[in-house]
Amino acid sequence: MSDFPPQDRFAHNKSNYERPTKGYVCGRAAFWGKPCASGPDANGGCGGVADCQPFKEGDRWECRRTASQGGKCAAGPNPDGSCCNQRPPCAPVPSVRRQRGRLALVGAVLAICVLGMTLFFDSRSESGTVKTNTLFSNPGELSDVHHAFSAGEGCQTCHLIEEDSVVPSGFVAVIPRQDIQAGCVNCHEFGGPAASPHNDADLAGNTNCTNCHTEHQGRFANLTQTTNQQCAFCHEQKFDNFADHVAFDDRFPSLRAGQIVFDHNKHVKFHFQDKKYADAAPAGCTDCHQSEAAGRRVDVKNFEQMCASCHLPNIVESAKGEMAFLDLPKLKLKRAAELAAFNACGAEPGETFKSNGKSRSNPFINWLLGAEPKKKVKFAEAYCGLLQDLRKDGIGAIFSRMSERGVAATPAMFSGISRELVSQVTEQWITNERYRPPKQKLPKGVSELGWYVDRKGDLKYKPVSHADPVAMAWIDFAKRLDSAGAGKLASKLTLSILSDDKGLGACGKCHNQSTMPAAPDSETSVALASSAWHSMADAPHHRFVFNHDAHLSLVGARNTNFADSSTGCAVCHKINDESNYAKVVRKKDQAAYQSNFQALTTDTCAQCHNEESIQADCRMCHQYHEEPRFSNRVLDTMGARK
Amino acid sequence: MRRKAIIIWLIAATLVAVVAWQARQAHLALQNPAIISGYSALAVMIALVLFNVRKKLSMIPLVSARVWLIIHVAFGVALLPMVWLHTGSLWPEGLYEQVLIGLFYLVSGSGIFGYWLSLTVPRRLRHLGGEIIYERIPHELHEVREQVKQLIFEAVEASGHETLTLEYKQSLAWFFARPRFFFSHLSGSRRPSAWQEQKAQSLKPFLGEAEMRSFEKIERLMDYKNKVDGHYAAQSFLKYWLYFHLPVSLSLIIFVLWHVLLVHLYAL
Repeated sequence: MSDFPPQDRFAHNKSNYERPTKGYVCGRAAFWGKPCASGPDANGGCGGVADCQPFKEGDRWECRRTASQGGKCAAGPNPDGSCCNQRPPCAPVPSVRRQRGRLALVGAVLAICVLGMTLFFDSRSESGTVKTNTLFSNPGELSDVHHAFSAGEGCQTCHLIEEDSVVPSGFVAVIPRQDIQAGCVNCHEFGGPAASPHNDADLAGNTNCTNCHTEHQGRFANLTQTTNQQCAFCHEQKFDNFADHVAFDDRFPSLRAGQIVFDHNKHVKFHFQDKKYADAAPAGCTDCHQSEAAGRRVDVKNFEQMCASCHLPNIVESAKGEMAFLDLPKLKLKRAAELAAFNACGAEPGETFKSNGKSRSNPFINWLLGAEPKKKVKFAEAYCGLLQDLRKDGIGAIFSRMSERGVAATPAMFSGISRELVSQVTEQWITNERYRPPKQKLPKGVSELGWYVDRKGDLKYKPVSHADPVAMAWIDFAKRLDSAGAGKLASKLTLSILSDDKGLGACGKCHNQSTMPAAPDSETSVALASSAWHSMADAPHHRFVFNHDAHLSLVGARNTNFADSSTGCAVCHKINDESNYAKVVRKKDQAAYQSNFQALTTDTCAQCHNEESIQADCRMCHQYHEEPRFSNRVLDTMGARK
Repeated sequence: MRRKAIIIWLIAATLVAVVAWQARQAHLALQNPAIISGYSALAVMIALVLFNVRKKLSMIPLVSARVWLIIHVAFGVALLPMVWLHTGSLWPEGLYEQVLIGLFYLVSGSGIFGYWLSLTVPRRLRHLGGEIIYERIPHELHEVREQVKQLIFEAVEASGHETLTLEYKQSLAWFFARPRFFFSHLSGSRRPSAWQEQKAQSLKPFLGEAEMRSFEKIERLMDYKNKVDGHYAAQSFLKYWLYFHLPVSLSLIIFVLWHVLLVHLYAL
């Protein structure tokens, strides 16, 4: 007993060789008894009902009990060859390894069953509409903004599902990703192609909404979150913070002339200091700029509020601009062909015809007829035809001919013209009678305004006041004519209308003609032409976002004056004394344009937007999409709900 | 081995860093970083499964099992950040994803627990002393039991009293029948030895000289039995945690494969 447990108890002749990889262990060992030497068989049956399996050598059976079990027994095998030490069989139990294997199998079967169960959850309604599957195929809740509208059609709101889809209905979310974009643009529209970078058709490459916007991230997920580094992936200039931002344009933010020519330098430094205008002169920027409605721009107030007090008398009283419309051309017809052409007018001239008209050439009539007076036959024929039509249809004849020439008239162009005036000019030319102006003379200092017939007998128009709608319509017509590029006669007409002396070009002293867009057609021209006359109607930095309102309170822009340049708008916008603004603008050369403010540099912004104080991500100032908006489908739906 | 372990842990950490960097690049390139992190995690998961395969192919010299264990642990730990990188959160949206991550946490948790056991249990076994093969414990107990019975027979024969026989029937038979005080041994409690001392103290006043000599031998056998019980408890725990880890791992792999299938069906 003193040497228990014996050190050699595991010797090869004293113990069995353990095989942990076997699937079963002896049932006796399972009940903490002595396991037999044989152990269970591979199928879990007892292999130890006898101590050994005797071996027949010659005609004798020999005991084969192992040494570890005590060696050969004294009694030896029975005569029939069976072992003499028989015992009842045990019930082997699975080994630890086999038990683990069985449990793993159970786990696997359970997992497969759970997955298989989802196949039986049919989420298709009777109409075939696929509802949202809330079980395993749902990859996560939609964000709040998309949560509601998918309630009706479910997954199919965004995911397009083929009729003959092989995907089991339990996995309705398993739908081609490339169709997602088609779903997005059902509701979202942009100012350019949805699949182009920045919605700009000129930029190479294809984008997908899901590149940046990932759904199914939960109700409170931010779908529009992007990082500076993501922007930097495409942009060559890469930087992590605003301090390293690429330099702004030399003229930023005023990259091109606005639609109102206003020399801030001259006004602030000279005119507003002039005692003559002391009462009308503004004290600070916000007297003209509407700081209370500041957004990306701080729009100016209207003409009446800002300019009229000084400029209106000048505009009305000394306006030289007038435009010849219908005149009496000077024609001398001698040859038979010339006279025959003129006979179309119905007059019966003699062998030689000389009109009483005094005007040499009217660019509008020339363009309308497509001929100049020096081409006598053609011009006489056309002119007579026009006069006949005017006699018959009145001003409608002009409308139809302008349409034929490719640049239609707008009603505003002939607003206020009387049939009598047109008839008067028409008849006197046809009858070749000398024009007799009215005997009543206008009082001294008072000039003709609006449509009138001058002393030569020509029908003309002179603007009545500032923002004269007829003058605006004719300038718009001139711009349409110019952009149509309708030939030499059209060019002459454009120059004539926009002429400072003989046309309406005086408007261009303040209204920058070169930046004003032309209205495309007669229906929309009035509204467009009208909007084109406003200040800053154009937006050159289309994807640039800036909020003046947020900055005005920081610099104390409100209630400041020009004298103090250390606060208010002047903190950022400093007048450039050396700018040749007015002169350059008049040249209408955008490339040479100089703002009368010093350009803003990144240093201006970096005063606040730096790593120490206010960080500025790319998207703080730049928006990715071009004019993002909802489609009419959404707006209609919202309207219908209301 | 320590050097090998450091190298393996460094490789695992580098793998996580590379995957994170690649996923980041994909994110910046407006691609789907989940593809990179997902497939990397799947590859690591398969590598972890290979540890079990390696154990079954012990006849092939595929690096020592100890190195495989370090690889299994290091890459198992590395899998956690890779999966978080893939999901973007600790608890993703979607029921399926939640079941998946739940299973993953169970597997990871049980794995970490198992690793902790593999570090602490051998220390306890060393403290207990001796080397006992787990599969031979029933045999050992049988031998101890037979020895005790033999000693009692000898004591009865020598003294003519049956005090030890009665005590054996009342309590010692229970003690020697199978491993006892499982959780006490597991927690390192003194309860087994206290129980033994209490029995000895209550029995010794009734024993004669011959019986006492036998009982002292029985006491040494009780000490040995306690040691065997300690081995049994510790080694059982080392084996039984796998009863949880393996089935859940297999379920996780099935769910992961289904997840991969779903992802590719999306991309059809």
